[in-house]
Amino acid sequence: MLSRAAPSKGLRLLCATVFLCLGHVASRADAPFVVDEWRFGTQETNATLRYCIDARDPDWPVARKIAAAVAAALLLRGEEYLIGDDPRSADMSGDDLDDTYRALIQHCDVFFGFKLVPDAYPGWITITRPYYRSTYVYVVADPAWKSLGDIPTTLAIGATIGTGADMRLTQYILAVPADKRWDKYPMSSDEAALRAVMRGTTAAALVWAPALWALRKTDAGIAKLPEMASSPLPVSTADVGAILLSRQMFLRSSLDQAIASLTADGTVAGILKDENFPGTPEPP
Amino acid sequence: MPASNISSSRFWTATILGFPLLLLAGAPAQAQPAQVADPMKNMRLVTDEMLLHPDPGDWLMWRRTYDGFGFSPLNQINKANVKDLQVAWAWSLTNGATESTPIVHDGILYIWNYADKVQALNAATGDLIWEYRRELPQAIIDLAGNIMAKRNMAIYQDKLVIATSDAHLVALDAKTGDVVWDHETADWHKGWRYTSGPFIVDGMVLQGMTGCGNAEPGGCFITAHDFKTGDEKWRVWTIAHPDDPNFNTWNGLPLESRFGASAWVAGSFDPDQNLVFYGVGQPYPWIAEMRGTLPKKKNAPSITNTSLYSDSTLAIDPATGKVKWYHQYLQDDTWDLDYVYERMLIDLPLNGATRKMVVTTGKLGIIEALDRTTGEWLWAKQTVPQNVVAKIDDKTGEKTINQAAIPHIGQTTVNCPADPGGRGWPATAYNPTTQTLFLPLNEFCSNTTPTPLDPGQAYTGGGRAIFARMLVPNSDGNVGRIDAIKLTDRSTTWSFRTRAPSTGAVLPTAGGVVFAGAWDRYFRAWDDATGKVLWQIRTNNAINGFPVSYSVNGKQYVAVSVGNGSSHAKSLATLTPEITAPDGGSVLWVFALPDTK
Repeated sequence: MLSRAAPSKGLRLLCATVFLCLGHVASRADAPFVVDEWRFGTQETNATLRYCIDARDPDWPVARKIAAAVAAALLLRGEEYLIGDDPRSADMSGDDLDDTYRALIQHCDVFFGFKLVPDAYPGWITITRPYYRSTYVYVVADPAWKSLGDIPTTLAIGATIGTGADMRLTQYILAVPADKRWDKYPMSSDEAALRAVMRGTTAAALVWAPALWALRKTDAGIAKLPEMASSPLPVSTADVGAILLSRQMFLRSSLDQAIASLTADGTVAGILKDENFPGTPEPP
Repeated sequence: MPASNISSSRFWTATILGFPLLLLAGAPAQAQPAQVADPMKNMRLVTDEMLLHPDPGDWLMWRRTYDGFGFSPLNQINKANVKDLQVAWAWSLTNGATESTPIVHDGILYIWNYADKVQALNAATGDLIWEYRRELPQAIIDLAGNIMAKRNMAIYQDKLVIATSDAHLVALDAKTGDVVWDHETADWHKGWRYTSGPFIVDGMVLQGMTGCGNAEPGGCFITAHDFKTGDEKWRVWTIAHPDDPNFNTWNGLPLESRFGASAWVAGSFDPDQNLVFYGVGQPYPWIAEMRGTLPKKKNAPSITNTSLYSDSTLAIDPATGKVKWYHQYLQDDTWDLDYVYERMLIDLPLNGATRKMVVTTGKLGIIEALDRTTGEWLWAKQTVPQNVVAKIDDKTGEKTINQAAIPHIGQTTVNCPADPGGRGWPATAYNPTTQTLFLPLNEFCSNTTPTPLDPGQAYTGGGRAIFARMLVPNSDGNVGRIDAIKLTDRSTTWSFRTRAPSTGAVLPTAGGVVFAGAWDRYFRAWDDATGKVLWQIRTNNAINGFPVSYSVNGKQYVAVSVGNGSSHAKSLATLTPEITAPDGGSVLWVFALPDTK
């Protein structure tokens, strides 16, 4: 871990600490509009890494441990802000990330648990290197189906709306002749997709493996649903990391170094293993 | 004389001498009774007759009259004297998205403030009479954005009825602001919310729901409520449910996979037919391939993918909630091109006969007219540059879509316009005396790229695309427009173009003047016949509300709210990065002519 790092790394950590002292100096070029933004001042401590964890994320217990490890690696006191049961952004009019912006100016320097989708973020956000990679998985009611190709095209696949895997499945469906297509039903959440399988509305559900991991711990019915292979489609994966304001370039560099060190020394792998989590450090 | 007595003597002398001065000092205040008079004492109950035929000086509902014209019959302010218009008073509002429409009755002006604060003001002086503040959950306040803006309220009898940011309908005593009843329509935790307000018809409170893109299946709805209690009387779903004959219009998707169709704008009412007309927004997710309505379901001729009742007009019996007819303007919308806005009930000549029409304009900027007795499509008129509709059948109104403009996963397409529309929620308005429609418009295009929406779970809920907005090809740099269209022959009388996007509604008056404002903070008055700018003032913030006109004691006023924070304005502002608006300072501005001696 970086707490045992060489002096040169320690110097960088000191620089990161100094940078945190500067707080956020607004650059409003393309940042969202937040009412009375002046109310959100800079933090007064210079030895704290304030990080947000979203309890609505299925992987939040893992994100929490990794965030704490990152703070420790940076020789900073970790200060967690747990976003609770707030309603999700209420429409898709482009305001969705405004909430994230508000969290980043009000509560935290870095927000853990974001899939690193290319071109999906506006310029005011920068992303760290990933700390794990996970997959999207197909879950079925009938264990006789071993892969997606086994499912009759007279049946429907349920997919959580708009994920990268959903879009790849859609592209596949569009590419094959009509008589070789499954119907695809968009589902509002991973849980809704899984429950549609249990009800028989769909033959399979395409869901994010960490969501399945979390739901299996609390729902015996979902825990019994078997997974199947994605062939003829390749396995869809997504890398997960953290986001922060793009003006925090030095902090991002420090976070990247910390994540790299925690990956290299096996800390991330240990956390994933302890949680029996369906992910691998990135790079493994 | 002892010093103390001297002091005492001086005190009494000063008091005695000063007393008349105090009286005199008070005299000027007493000479301005309008500043201290309580207009509440003379406020009359708002009757059905008033709603049907409002006093010229009143503004009793969102678009002032049931026909949705947004027209003021006042003419004290006219083409000749509007140049003399000056600030009568101003009133600071809560900072945040400010899309409000004042309601004015018998000299009292009611105004919505961001974050669910309602105030009753003396409409002549701006003095506060009462204030209602709703205690909102902190989580809603944290969401901020447009959620806590409301475009309109409603008044009837002795109550002001509002729709709240936590999805309640609340009736306030119009004289005191006290809560009379409070009805929860939906669970805000699931994303349901209101951005517009109620519409009152024949003792029923009608309200459209939005927030239907938040992964709540089954879509939105319009509800009707007992005016005396708030109890729900009926609900019309804006997405076809299993018991609906049009259930098969969603490409075979189960109800749990159907989203959207918000009814986020208030309606119109035709008393002759006893019908209300509501618009319905687009289906969610915006990209059809994401929401499963493309590709078309195989081997299922009885199943279509038009996604009813998105982008439609619904003609509804207000007593029962029965939908008498509907018309869909845009099938299977895959661009976020709402047809949800104001419905104007206009009688116009067509082919030698007068037709009872319902006229609306969607985000495409295409004005369309239906026969409001049958739903028959009558005509269309295009305004801003658009490339989505290649052709409109002049008999049926059926649109031929430009296939190159359909967004596909993995591709980028050019759409003109795109979100937030060639026109947005800032309302058009109609002058019935000149039969002219006035529209606030914007010219732009977008590179549209469907994008996965799961970068983080905090905003999972539907589908969307990246809209990289840009000027239209060969643009002269102007984005904003105010158009005047003579509806009898659908000719463009004039078009005022400006660099700044149009961000406010328009207000035509019987004085031959049209008021509107823009992102650059200018609030202007045009000659309604020529488009010549007759007056303008630069306010403190973006003009982003619905201007109204009213009169008190024979004096005409024009009121408009300004402020920053509306997602509509913010989106348009990306086209003109050199024009900025301050992030604070929402204000209600009220203008009038100087008093004559």
